[in-house]
Amino acid sequence: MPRLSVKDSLFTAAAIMVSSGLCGILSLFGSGDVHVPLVFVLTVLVVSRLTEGYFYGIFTSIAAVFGVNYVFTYPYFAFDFTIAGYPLMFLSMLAVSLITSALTTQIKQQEKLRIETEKEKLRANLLRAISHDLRTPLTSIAGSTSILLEDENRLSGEQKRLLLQEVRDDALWLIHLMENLLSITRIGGEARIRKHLELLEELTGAAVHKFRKNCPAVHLRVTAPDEPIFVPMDIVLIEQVLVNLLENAVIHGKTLTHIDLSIALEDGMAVFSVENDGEWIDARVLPHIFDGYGVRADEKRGAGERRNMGIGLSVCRSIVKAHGGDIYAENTPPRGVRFRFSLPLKDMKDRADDGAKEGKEGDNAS
Amino acid sequence: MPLKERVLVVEDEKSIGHFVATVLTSNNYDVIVAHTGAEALAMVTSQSPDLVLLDLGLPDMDGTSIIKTVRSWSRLPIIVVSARMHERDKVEALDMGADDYITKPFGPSELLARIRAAIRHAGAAEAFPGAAPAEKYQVGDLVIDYDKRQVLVAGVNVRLTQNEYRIIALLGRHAGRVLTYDYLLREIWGANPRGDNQILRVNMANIRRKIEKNPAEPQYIFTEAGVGYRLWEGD
Repeated sequence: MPRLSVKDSLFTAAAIMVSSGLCGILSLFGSGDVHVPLVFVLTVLVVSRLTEGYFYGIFTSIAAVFGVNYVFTYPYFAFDFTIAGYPLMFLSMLAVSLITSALTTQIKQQEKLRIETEKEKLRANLLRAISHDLRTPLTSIAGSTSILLEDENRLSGEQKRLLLQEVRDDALWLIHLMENLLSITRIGGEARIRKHLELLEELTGAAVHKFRKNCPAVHLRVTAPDEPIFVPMDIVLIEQVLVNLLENAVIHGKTLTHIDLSIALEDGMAVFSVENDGEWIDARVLPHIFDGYGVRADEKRGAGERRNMGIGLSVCRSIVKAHGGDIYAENTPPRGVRFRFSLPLKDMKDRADDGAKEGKEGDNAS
Repeated sequence: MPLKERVLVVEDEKSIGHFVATVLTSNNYDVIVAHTGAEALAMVTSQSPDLVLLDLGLPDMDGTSIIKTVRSWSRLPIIVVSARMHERDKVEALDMGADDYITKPFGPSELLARIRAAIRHAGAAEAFPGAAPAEKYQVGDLVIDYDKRQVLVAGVNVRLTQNEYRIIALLGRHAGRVLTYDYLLREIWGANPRGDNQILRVNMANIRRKIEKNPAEPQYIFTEAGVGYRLWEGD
């Protein structure tokens, strides 16, 4: 089923015209018409690469063979495939262009398929991590509340309080998880995120306010450029990234005493840095920290590691990527961890290659 | 003993309704619960509550249409309960006349603070209708003096432009409540045919630089992402 579009049709027509013109000009200078088939094979290649589906490439191949025969070979401006040598010549030209066209289109489609598979893999990993993260707190909530209901009289006040505290913590954790999942649905699919120009200070203000509500004890310092700066973003999502990074620092930093949140402008990007003086991240986990399953390594180290941020960080990456930015994590000497992410100051219209670049960051922080 | 304030909780989820009712009852409010929009509208007229806590996601009707109906004849304070991602719902509800919103999930203390603030605001407007509004608003080191049209931070007069003063005065008159971008734009600049809020943002950035110690970590004016601004009302 050929997928036809006005844009591709116009493009194909233009390409054929340009190459005809080029051949015309070349033949003014040159002896013979050796270049003609080459120019047309090139045209077929270009058309196949830049149009949708097989149709335009094949169409151009056939049009080229007839066109060249009609215009550029003796007898000029007449069809004649019967002259000695011509059948072979035009057949091979047709074959070469068709194969070129088919291969190009196929490569293009494989690339698309690869990106799809990559996305599918990410989704599957995420789902696995999610169901794991759901089961643990839900089991504990169901268990604790059952005990409270059934053995109410045999529990001391202190015991009851502890159980209830755990139930609340688990519930808060589930809420946190759900908010991250909601963020994904907001980026998800082909629907683009809705970016508006937002002031950096309003972003940090909102994120810090929210963070303070949850973790009032942590010492947090915020530095931003003096002048007001507008950056295109979905502020709710980027706020989520900041809150995730800040809370992640608190949960995993252990020995942490303070967090620095700073924003600088570098090369047309706003670069956010969330830095703490807590414990380093395991070097084996670091490269996979944004994959959403860095979780597993943690898990083996002991039950205390339950509150992983696997999903939170992978959500951070998805959000930043969807904005055309990048995210890194690194351990800073002598101790502490730094997360950095960037957002373009100018709204970039094309994010065609976003999917292709995923999966190699994390180990090359600047 | 003073008369208890009556709160109408409109919530279709039984468990949340129960949680909210428990929190409010144990804090000396008289609570009535409606599970549908129709029920809610009936109760607003028959039970004359002092405040409505309205969940926007109701089974039988759009929450905003309830706001509209109530607003057509009453200034009864309405607090909307909404999910985090739904900024547009919040903005719509506020523009429709809701007094404030609270984002799910919320804790008891946040809920109580919002309800107290909303009832206080409504009470202040109702107790002395036509009375001169307050002369000053004070919170932390910030003083807005409406008479002299000036703003002081730690006793020092802050030099604001006309519009900057008008913005902060407006926020001060509604301290603790979120004012949407559109509302502020309309009040300060009149109609806003361009439909963007850049001019408000820039003015806000200037105000922040004049009254906040660190504009990136404001103490007085909070941004509600995607919705609007809220002036601190104290803890």
